[in-house]
Amino acid sequence: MVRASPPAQLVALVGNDVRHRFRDRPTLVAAALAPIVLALIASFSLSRLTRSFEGTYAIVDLDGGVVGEQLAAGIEGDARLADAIDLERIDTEAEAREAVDDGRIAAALVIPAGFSGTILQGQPAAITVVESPRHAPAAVVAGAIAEGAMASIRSDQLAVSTALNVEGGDLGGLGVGDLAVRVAEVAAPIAVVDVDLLDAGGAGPARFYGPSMAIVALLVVVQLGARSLLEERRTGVVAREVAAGVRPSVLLGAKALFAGGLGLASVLLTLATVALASGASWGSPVGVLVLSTATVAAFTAVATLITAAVRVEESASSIGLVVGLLLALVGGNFVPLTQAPGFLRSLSLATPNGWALRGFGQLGTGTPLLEAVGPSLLALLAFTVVAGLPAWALSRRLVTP
Amino acid sequence: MSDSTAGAVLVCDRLTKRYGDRLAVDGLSFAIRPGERYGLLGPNGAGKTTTISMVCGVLRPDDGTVLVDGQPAAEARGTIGYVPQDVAVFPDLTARENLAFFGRLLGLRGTALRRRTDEVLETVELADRATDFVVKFSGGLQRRLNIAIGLLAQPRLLVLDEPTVGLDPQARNGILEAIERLAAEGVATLYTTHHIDEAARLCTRLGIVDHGRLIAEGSPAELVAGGGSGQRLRVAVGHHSDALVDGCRALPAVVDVVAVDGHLDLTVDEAPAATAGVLALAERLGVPVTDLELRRPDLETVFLGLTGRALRD
Ligand SMILES: Nc1ncnc2c1ncn2[C@@H]1O[C@H](COP(=O)(O)OP(=O)(O)O)[C@@H](O)[C@H]1O
Ligand SMILES: [Mg+2]
Repeated sequence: MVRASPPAQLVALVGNDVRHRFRDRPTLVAAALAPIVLALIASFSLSRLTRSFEGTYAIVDLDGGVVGEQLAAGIEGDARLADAIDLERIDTEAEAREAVDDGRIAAALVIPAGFSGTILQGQPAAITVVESPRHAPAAVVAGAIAEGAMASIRSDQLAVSTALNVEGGDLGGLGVGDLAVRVAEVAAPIAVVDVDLLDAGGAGPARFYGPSMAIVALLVVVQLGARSLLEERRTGVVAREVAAGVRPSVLLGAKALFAGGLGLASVLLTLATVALASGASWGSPVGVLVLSTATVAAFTAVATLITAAVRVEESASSIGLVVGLLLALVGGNFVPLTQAPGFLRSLSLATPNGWALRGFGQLGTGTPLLEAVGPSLLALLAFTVVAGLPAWALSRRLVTP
Repeated sequence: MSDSTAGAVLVCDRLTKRYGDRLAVDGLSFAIRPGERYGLLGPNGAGKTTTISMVCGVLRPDDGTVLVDGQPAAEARGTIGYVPQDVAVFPDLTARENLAFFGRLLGLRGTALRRRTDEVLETVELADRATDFVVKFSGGLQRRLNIAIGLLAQPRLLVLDEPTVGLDPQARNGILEAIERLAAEGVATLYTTHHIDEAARLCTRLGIVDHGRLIAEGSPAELVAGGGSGQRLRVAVGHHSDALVDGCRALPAVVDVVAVDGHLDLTVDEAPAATAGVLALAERLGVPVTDLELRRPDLETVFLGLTGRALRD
């Protein structure tokens, strides 16, 4: 009997792994169900959180002066805000209070009477927020808008007083109307809210949590390949395969293909589920595929290195879990890095998932594809090589006579 | 290669394998001719499995060579039917799926694969369980599948490593019958066991191994005739006595004495003289003799004489 060609053996080995795994319920759950569940949790809880920012906000202009009007118009004219929230005018604070209390509007910004005069005299003034504890996120958003608006006013005040100083610091010859014109001239567009809060409408958080959950799913799934090699070595199947003439490289190649394929499937499944459930998008499908593949390769290498170094199935599982959790934590899978302190952001780049998340974050932001994913791809490739070479050498020893 | 090994299906020459300080196989040499049924008989830990692993190319010898049909073991992979000591199959696949997988590794495909699978299932009498999951099989059925996988390659040499270990007598007999059917087809077999009766029943030639060394070789009849220098006298005693063992050893008619739990096994030249001497000695030492049995030499007495150990489970 002639033995099969290495490619035919590879196909037989991978095919058997696939068939074998489909008989294995827990693995199926890990590989297919877990990503979907993670994705759905991420999509729904986060889109609800996001939706809670949305709603109608009211402006109550009790001032009626030029500065108050300027401010209200600035808020109403902000394009980014308009994407996320609706705005309406309400005449009195009491009406606004009532509307907030019965939930018709999310929160109201009140420009107090005499606001323009106070500002024009160079005195500090404040916008008040009418809020309801039932709608805490809206209060945060309203507060951020108010704060942004006041910051903008303060810089206007500075500009006005500078302008006046240039003309000798004498208010005498200028009426209030002239001042208002000057204010209008120097007023910068009102920068209102922290961009992260309302990033890209409702899909912002899902855009982050999609890849993040995909990587968590990958962490679970990718260890299965290497562990099955240990198991088959223990049961003697590996010896039997070697006796049948399968080369170690073919054996390992098959396992890597299987583990990688399973990992890629779970990543894409997670991303697809998140995309369907939340409407999130990462722009280029090619970018997603390439970045996912690089991420899977890096994690396959890392998981194989751990498993092949530990060599005992049970210990490999627990150590793999601990390392996985650590990577997830440091890499920023649980907390978005944009809200993390600087040193954590740097530390995250010591992990493959940190780089992967960074790449996914850049995807679909309008950055050219290569620029968006290039650095992440290079970093992931480095992880693949650095972990993959010793992993290959160690696992080769496991299957070589 | 000497004349006696010319044309052999398997030649092992001074095979050696160390595990740390332990010499698992120590310069083992033997050859198997076409159609021969060769048995490696030895107690647990004698080095049988280690030898088999080197023969089948799954373990690299530290020293010595293996030639399969004149080829080095590494190149002969896939041509030997390898039946490992532990059942090495996928429990969550069916018998047929297991066979199909290993068949594909050997290059079988399509109808050829199907036909060969059916044949080996027939040979081990597993055809009616072909589509059952292996995890539901009894130990005996699993061992049959283990053998069936080894048969897929239609090997000229079938290597079976303790294929009946851990089975009840009935299941064991089923396995032995399957192997006898194969042997009748003229397949050369290398069979390891620590059961003397299996070795005597299946093998045309035996190598007795202990501590990694081949200490005797020949057909069962040759071993019995030439191996023992005499008869075996088994003396059951009421209690152990070192003085009795030493005294027996000093008797001129006694060649060797082995104390095995509750009795002494003596290799004797002259049965009457030895028997009289032992009984007199026991009486003098006050050791009660509860039974006395004179046995003709058989493989077990040969083994006992060679290794000083009984070969039982
Ligand atoms: N992988 C191993 N590592 C260390 N020692 C081993 C290993 N395999 C076998 N041995 C030792 O080598 C000797 C021979 O073992 P083995 O070939 O399994 O004997 P048998 O099959 O005759 O029972 C035994 O002492 C055993 O403990
Ligand atoms: Mg053994």
